[in-house]
Amino acid sequence: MSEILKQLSELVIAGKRAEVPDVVKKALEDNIDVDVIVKTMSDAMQVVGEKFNKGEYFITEMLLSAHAFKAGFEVLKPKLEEKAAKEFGKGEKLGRIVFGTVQNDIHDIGKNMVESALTAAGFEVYDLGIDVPLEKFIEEAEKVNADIIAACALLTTTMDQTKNLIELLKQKGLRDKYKVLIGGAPLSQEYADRIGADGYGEDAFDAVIVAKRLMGIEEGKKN
Amino acid sequence: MNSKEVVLEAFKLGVPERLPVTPWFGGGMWIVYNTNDSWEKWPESAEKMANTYISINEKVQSDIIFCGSGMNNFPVAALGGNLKYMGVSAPPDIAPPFMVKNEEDINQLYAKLESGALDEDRIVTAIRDATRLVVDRVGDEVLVCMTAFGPFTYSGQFMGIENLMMNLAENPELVHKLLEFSTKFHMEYYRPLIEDGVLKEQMVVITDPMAAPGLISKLNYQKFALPYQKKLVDHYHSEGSVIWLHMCNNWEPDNRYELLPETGAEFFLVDPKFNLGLAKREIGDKICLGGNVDQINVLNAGTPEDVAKNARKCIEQAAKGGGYVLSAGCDVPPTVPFENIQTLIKIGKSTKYKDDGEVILNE
Ligand code: B12
Repeated sequence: MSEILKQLSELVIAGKRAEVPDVVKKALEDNIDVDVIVKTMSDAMQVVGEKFNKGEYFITEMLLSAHAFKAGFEVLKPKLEEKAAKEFGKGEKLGRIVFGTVQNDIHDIGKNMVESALTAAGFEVYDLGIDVPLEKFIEEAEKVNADIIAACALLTTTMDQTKNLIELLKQKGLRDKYKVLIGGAPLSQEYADRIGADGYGEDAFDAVIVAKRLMGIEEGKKN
Repeated sequence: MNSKEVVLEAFKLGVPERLPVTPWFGGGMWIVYNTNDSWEKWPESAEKMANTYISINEKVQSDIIFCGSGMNNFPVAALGGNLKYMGVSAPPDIAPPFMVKNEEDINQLYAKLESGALDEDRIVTAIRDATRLVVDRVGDEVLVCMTAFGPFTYSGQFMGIENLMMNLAENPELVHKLLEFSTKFHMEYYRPLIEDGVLKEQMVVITDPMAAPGLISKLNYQKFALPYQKKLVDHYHSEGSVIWLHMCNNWEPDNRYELLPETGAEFFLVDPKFNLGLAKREIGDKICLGGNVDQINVLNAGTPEDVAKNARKCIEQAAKGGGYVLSAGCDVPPTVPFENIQTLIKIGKSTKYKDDGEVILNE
């Protein structure tokens, strides 16, 4: 790995969000491929996730790294779009995900981390925020032509909203149009199976693996 | 010994006649839901709230009454925070948060506090007055408290939680200033009750969920949460109150539990994710422990037999020698069946101690 990419990786892991954009610009000036830069930052986020799971990192560190990633990504965005327009004519995202925390639930720390991880992995994420009514998930999914609807619930009193979401999709005859991905502390794979959700993610990195699976993408290669 | 005496004896790490027990910490959501009330209407009058706390407790028979449970955000709203009601699935919260960005914003909060915003607020007044009434009517028999968040969690409500978390690293001075404010804010919320001696030999609850393991590091807990919690504990101790402290999650990694006695609180509520037996061995001689009956999988989703099993396990792990209160490990969901609550209470009240601290488990 070149010196500059090594530095970029370290900055993302250390969550130095103010310093990342300049280093990304320098990498571009050095003619390093955009994809390689993105991959470097994504791999760094993978390390951050592992540190979080090991209890070495906490919310503070995780958020700073996620913001560092975002700051770098912003710099790359025009380049990525340019490139995507040339190569595919449409956009190179792995898939579109409409994401929110269900109604009456305002927990969003975990949701935001999952969103960062999905963005880092190459998904296009539409964040609906917290306390999102079921209708709103579906409306937005229709509007942006989403592939996946992702719902987060942290309370036993709100977790059944994920079930209701699936019911509502059925009622509207839209169940087959979207994959439903759910997550949050009280949920489980078993619960997801019971309510007929397409996927459940234990944590942010699991969420990426599952979202890729839902899009028919195997680890490491696209379609 | 009456309810209050058994709890206070356990808090002193002594051996009460029987095991102290409360089905919940809080119970606000359960009460509002089970009296077919709503969070919008519930604080209508202090009289109504006090009557409900007392009549529910006649039914439930908890050793502690938690006034103001589920209402920790009302004082924040009194300073201008936007209250968001969410039916009975959760207590009202502040959304969006205040988003304090600089010292000037903190000074504005001070200005509101000093202008008497809390005292003028109808709901804050109702909570305080309900607490007064409950203490007045049953405070010799039952331990009574008023609940509130701790300084770290209130700071999250004032700054936005993610901003608070990032500022721990990026702007620690500002965070300390906000924590100072939140500590003052807590004291102001309780001030009229303290001044009138209402909470003398009663309890103050400090619940600081945002300062829990998994959210912040041990070092950050030491720097940003513990000193301010301790400040509150010292303040209320000097006024003759006892302190119930709660933070969720597992305190075992990094031996973080060793910091809990440093707060000076009499009592710490052990979350179901934290091993009660370990807590008892490591810090049980320094701080009274309670919990850790699983409020979600057992109290809410289990049968009375499951509750009995879980309660007996907790008793085995922590009751010996006193210094233990049987309780749910965190605030209970509104849908917990009454039979499960009854089962827990029955087990607590029928578990007696011998003089040497041995537990007489009745079958
Ligand atoms: C922080 C917190 C709060 C903050 C929320 C701030 C915020 N902006 O998010 C505040 C203080 C406001 C709060 C309020 C309440 N809370 Co709260 N809170 C917590 C706490 C301490 C941490 C949650 C958290 O952020 N964890 C860290 C993140 C990283 O983990 P996570 O959310 O699980 O997310 C991970 C995975 O689940 C997964 N994931 C998450 N979402 C998704 C989505 C998808 C699609 C996928 C695939 C994966 C995925 O990936 C994430 C990253 O690894 C938990 C206790 C705990 N330790 O879990 C209680 C907890 C969730 N809260 C609880 C309660 C009861 C409440 C209140 C009702 C308390 C009260 N009585 O007032 C209110 C309700 C507010 C509301 N209407 O939503 C209970 C829920 C019990 C239950 N199961 O019903 C908990 C479990 C505490 C407890 N032990 O009882 N809370």
